[in-house]
Amino acid sequence: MPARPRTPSPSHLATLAVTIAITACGFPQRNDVYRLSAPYNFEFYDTHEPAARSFYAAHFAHFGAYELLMDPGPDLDQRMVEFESQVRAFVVDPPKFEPPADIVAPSWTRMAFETGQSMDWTHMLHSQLYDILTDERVRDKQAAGERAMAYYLSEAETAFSTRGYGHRWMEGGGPWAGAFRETYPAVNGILWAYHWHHAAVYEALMESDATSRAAELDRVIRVFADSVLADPPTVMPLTAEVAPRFSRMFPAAAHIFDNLHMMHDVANDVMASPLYTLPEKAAEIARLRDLMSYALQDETSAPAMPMGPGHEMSPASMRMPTLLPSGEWLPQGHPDANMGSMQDMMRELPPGPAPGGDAR
Amino acid sequence: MRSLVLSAFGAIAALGVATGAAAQEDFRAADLDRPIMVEDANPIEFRAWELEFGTRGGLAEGSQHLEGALELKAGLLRNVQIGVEVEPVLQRLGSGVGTETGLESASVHLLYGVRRETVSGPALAVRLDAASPGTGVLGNADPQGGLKGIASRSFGRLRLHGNGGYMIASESDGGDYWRGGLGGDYPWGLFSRALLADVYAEIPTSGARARVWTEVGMRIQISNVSVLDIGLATRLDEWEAGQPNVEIVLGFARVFGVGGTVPDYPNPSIR
Repeated sequence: MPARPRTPSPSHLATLAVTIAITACGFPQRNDVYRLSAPYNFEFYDTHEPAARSFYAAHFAHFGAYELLMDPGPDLDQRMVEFESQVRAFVVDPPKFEPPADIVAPSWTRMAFETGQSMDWTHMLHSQLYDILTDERVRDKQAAGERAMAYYLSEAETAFSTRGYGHRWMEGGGPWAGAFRETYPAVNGILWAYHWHHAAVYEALMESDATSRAAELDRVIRVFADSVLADPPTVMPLTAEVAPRFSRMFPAAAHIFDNLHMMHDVANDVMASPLYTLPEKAAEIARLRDLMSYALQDETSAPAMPMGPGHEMSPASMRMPTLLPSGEWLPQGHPDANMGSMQDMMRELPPGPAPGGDAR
Repeated sequence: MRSLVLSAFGAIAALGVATGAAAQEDFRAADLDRPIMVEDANPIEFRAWELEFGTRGGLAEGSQHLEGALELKAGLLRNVQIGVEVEPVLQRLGSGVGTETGLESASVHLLYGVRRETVSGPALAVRLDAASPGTGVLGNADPQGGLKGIASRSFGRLRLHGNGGYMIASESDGGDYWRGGLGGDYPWGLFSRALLADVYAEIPTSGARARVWTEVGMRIQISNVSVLDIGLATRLDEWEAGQPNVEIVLGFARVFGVGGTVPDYPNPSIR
């Protein structure tokens, strides 16, 4: 009689499970975290769906460009032209829901997982601040916004820094600086136009009542389509110069979003640079993401702004973070912030003071 | 039977309305039974909760049946998903014979995301299941338990999932069996819909005939937090005399958060 095949017992299964868990300690894991639970979630989408959906072409543009640059073959220029047409089509007819990054850029999000995760985590903060400013039930916008930011910053390695780095990393972070905007100015123009768009939507939502907010949002979307996208900015706009009221209320958020936008540009530049192999690009993107993280901001010196041809910053970025007599802070780029000197910009930005002290 | 299926669909639709304009953020997630039996290796997000409701009904001659599933999942720890599920079942045994109802089982599972997918390797997860006995003649007679390994690997936008494991069951429930399958998902267009398909088998260690399913379905995002799933399934080993035993699978999932503590605003440096 043949022996009955030996089958696992419950103790075998438990031993195997423990072994797997211990083995996992050395593996990279997803570590996904859900958004802060709040009644205002998705209020912006539910109230202003066309405006909410107007963001989705930007998501597609950012992550789609990364994915194209994973394969720098001889036809890349032609593929980038076709890609630009696709992006412009999504501007006119956006998808119903936000396109997940891992579908738009399946290869890039595997290669630069943590950087993509930081971008998504910060998009979540973007979304929650739009929701808070939209939701009539939220009376204390400041408190609700700071609670959302506290939750965001509690993932310190994933969150972007609250320091005013301006354009320092994208201009002085490495020899790749400017590679994307110089090679693909048309697509880069769309991306910078969207950086204006994201901030302008905040400013529209600072209007005092729902009717005014809706009217101002309509105006912003119209101006974006008719003017900004048609004649894109020639430098990356800072949040505070486009959204001064929002940035005065949430100066740290203004810097977080500037650093997110800068990281988007850094990733484009590194991916477009011919100086690196693909593994080197992955390592360089990860390095820059770490340097721009909230977790390391007290130990990180930001590079000096290189001056001269090929290095661009907006005039507003000369306006440095400013402490007002009221104790409020204005972020970099705010029209009421103090002007810095060119020498200030040409020096490294030393590590900042420990969080919890000097700024709101 | 058709009225049962329609009633189930109505219940799902009602749940969707009651929960507002939103459920699962990831229409692409290959969740177990929603609508295929092969699942992916990505656990739910830390601090996310997900409620799933689904039905699976067959119109095979002489044995019309409807199975339900109500599941609550939670990301209680990073990379760890815990879920509880109840599975009511109803079977009509031909005209004049009668109808049986019962609870097939109540179960809990723990899914641990061992590693994420990287350039060089697949995502890996391990899942532990434990199920209680059910009620009525359709319920399981005894507790069951098992372990399953899960791997997910992307090829462009196509993701393939391999599942394999072992389930311990009493002789009165058919005995122990190996279980496993291969499935995949592919986004339909860039946004909001995914096609899924699998082949899944349970092979009794007693040498009895293997149970083999093949399924195809779609997940459709219907709001920022809600996903509807629909599919067709069939037991390949039961195809006899040209009468395919085809089941309809229909379900709904909604993700949400629950309270939680938030640290004080750190008033961070902006200089």
